[in-house]
Amino acid sequence: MKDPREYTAQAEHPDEETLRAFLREGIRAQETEQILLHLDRCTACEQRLEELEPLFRLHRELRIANLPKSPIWGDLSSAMDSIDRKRRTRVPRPAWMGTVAAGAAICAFLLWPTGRQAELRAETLLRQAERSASTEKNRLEVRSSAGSFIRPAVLKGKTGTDAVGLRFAAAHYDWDDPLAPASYGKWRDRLKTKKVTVVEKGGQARIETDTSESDLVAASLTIAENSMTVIAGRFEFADRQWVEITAIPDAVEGTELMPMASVSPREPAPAPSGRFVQTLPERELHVWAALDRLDLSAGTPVSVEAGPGDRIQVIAYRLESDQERQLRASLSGVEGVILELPPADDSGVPASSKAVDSAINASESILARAHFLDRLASRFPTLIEAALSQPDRKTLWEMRTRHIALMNQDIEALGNKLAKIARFSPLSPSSATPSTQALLESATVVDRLVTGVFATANSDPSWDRLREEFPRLRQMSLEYARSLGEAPSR
Amino acid sequence: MDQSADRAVHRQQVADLYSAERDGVYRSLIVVGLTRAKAEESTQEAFLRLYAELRNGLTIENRRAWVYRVAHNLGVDVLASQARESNLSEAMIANIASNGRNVEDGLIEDEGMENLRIAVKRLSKQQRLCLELRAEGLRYQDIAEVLQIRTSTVGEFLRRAIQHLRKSSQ
Repeated sequence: MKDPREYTAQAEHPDEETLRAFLREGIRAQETEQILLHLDRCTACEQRLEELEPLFRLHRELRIANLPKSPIWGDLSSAMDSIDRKRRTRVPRPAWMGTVAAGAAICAFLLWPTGRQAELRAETLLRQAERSASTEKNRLEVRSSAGSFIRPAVLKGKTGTDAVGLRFAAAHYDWDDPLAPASYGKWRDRLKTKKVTVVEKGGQARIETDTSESDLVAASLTIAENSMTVIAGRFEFADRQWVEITAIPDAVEGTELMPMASVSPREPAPAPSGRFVQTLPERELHVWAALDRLDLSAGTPVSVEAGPGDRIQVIAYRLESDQERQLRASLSGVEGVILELPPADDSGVPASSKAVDSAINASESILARAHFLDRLASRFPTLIEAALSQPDRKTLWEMRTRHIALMNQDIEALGNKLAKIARFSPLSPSSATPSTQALLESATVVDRLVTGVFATANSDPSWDRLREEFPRLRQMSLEYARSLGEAPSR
Repeated sequence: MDQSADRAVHRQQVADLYSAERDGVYRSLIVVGLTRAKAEESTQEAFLRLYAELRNGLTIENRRAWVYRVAHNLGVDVLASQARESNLSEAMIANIASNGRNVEDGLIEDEGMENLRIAVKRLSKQQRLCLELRAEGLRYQDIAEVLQIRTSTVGEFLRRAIQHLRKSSQ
């Protein structure tokens, strides 16, 4: 095999056949990468690629004709000045200051006011925050064990009938404006017995109130001391359900308020203080199972990722309203799930344009299921699977069994479709149980070839390769199904 | 070099990059689906973040790709928060209108080009972005970095995009 660097050298220009294959039926991932790295450095070959595929030029012309007008750009100087000012306040400190700071932190911990002193401090902070409360408030991100959503900071009398709102109303906490110091104060004032703690560190003050005489057993507000504005709140109910609310500053303000040390291409959400009864793999499995029950696990663009603070982020695209409602209901039973529903990017496409040949449909379905099985394999490897309870292992087995069975059905359907056009060799025996990765790779190759056969004019080379790859995929899929065996009984 | 000299150098570098790349970054955000106002805002924010990171001492070898990547992530976050607010927000409607054919941009008379325009709109977002960033002059490696995918996947997206466009133009 060639060293990847060889392709990038000027002398190793890919020949026309390779470039054509790259554009038409596709080539192996490693070779694609090598060619692209070469094209990045070789304008002559990039030019050859353009000549081979006139659609690149046509796309460029189309793009020029439709370029959006550029805005009248503002100067960044003043915003950069603002960044400079913030930096200047950070004075370099000698190393021994760390020890002093640690000592001070311990002292602060011991001296954090509780009891009457804390109540007085809380009153003072709330009064100051109330005076600083902006009349033009932003939005709030509300997260709970059932999911998350964004709402206006103030509902202005349009009290929602959602479960969270009703819960707050029952606890006599004003859901219209939950981060308002007045709302917090009114709730506290009703309580005869309460324990108040004030924690001040890192430029923030957190007022915590615990009680046993309300369904809302603990509530805290966090105040930024430089602006004396409330930036977050956390609320815990008697049944251990919790709600976290964070004020969302608008984007321009966010640029300046954000601590620059934490700036990264992808801002992580603040770490939660959630306490989950189940482990992350257990909860993730339950998310997958919930998706699977709604038939959203394969084929539908749904992403399930471990989020910050042991949360699970579920992003689902292009759901119908019914599906969205069912999904919310299904996930409500799983702790620490953040559900996001981005807008569909092809909402303007008429449904008829999505209709494609049934062979391509079958192939895409096979690929989607192969992806899903591989995803399950990577998220629940043997060790993690072994640590799951027997019912959870059975759930996992059922998902795998169902999807491989459906995949085999799709493979048969595709095989029948292809057999009408070309002759395929019988199944070849295989020596070992295939990995899901091998299954996925083969499904990817087959999908590419099927698309090539049905979507391009010159399909002969694709047929030849399809005759080799398709029986291999069929064989592996059957063997993988066999390898799953019986459901775990203990 | 002392700190103030460093700062002046960083300011100039970011200002130069901003002049050269802001339109391209802005256009790529329009392709992602942002409204003009949000695209403008996110573009500026990406450059300011670059300045902040350079001030913090971060070494960024490929600043152009870095800015595109940060802007892209900001765009994705904006779209996600818009989606949470409404299924088809005003912003999306405005964006569909802004991406659509209008009097100013009505330069396409050829039927083939009109078909191509429709076909491009039907591409997946990733496929469209790969084409767009390539047309913007980014290297394939940079596109991979912006979209946080492998370079070979960029190739695959481009291949699929071309295949769809070819099929539509037949």
